[in-house]
Amino acid sequence: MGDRSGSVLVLTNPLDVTTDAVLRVLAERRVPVVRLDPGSDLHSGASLTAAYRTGGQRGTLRTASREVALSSVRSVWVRRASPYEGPSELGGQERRFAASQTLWGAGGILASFPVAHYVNHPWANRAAEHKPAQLAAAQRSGFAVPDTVVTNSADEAREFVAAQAGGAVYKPLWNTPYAVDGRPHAVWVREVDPADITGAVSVCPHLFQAKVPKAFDVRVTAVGDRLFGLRIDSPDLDWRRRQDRIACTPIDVPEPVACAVAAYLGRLRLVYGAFDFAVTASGTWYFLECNPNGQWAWQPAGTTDAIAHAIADQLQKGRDT
Amino acid sequence: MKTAPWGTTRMEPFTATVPVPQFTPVIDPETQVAVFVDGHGRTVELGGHGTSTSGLTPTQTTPDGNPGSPTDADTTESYDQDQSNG
Repeated sequence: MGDRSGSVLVLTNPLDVTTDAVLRVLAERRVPVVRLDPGSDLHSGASLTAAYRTGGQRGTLRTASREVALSSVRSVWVRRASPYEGPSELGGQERRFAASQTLWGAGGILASFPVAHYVNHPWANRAAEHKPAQLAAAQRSGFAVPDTVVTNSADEAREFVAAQAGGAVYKPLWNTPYAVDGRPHAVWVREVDPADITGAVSVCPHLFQAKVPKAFDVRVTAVGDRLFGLRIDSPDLDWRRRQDRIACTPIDVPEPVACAVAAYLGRLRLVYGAFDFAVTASGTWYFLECNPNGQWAWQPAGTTDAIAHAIADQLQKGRDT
Repeated sequence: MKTAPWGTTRMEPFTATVPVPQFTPVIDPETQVAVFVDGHGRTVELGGHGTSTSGLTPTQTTPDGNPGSPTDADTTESYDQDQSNG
């Protein structure tokens, strides 16, 4: 049933240069690719049609440079599609109507190909973005997990933070774009003083976590059963803040951690995942997070190139039969 | 009584974000790779790839030159939530 010669559908915005690293590999291999940014292309000339009836479905996608039968799509790479915001020339509720119809209509069509291999399925990504779901899956997959509490009770928060002998940190449950005086801001991980906790914790849930006495950080990029480990040494608790200060070295992933990664991916139905670990001097790998659609092309060239090829392999092979 | 969430008191600026020049991406019909063209019609290479683009717009960049992609929990299905570490 699966058409092995079918196209790879890539959902992303035109500025996503990471996508291009994989598309160049697929081009070398002469694997046909169709690129679509549904949130904007469908308002500017591209068309998407799906038809359903008893016992079957079919459809067609037409972009500026491609026409493909939806049944021939061998795999779908969900990267960095633009938000569904509706046609920019509309305003107010008309624009919101068009945006919602596109989200639920086009988003539904693109998530419902019967034989395609999704890297990752968009709804699996959505489920796996929830940090409580990550922690629940992590502890059931065999990872060491730092003591963590998610609460909107200031008393619970204060009690938890005060009880952590090695200190505690705060992490947002979602990164909301946030600007102060027009300048982009974010929460960078740093220690929490229990005395700083106020009743403002009750406004919404907050995540507090024991600070791991780490010797170094590790990013493990998982593509199917292929793992790419990278040790990250940073002068900062949160290595993302000053990336010009980090030192990266490839590192082997211990077998028990690799097994837990496989279990985690299976549990959350992911093909790809960017795992972050804090590793102690005694060699315990503490699971911090897994971003199901995490950026990977910032890593050293050898790692990036290997990941690009591994993703291309996944997209080329399509769904296992 | 209106109280801002406690978490917003933990916000700090990105170390440096600089505007990126405006390039027009053109999708190569053959490979579907985006080709960036400057104001003089010349092809340009964009810079590196950041660890996270959350909170940045396509016209801003982290020092390593990664253009941010738009994110909005209510309007997108594929997120760009690189995680906090520490």
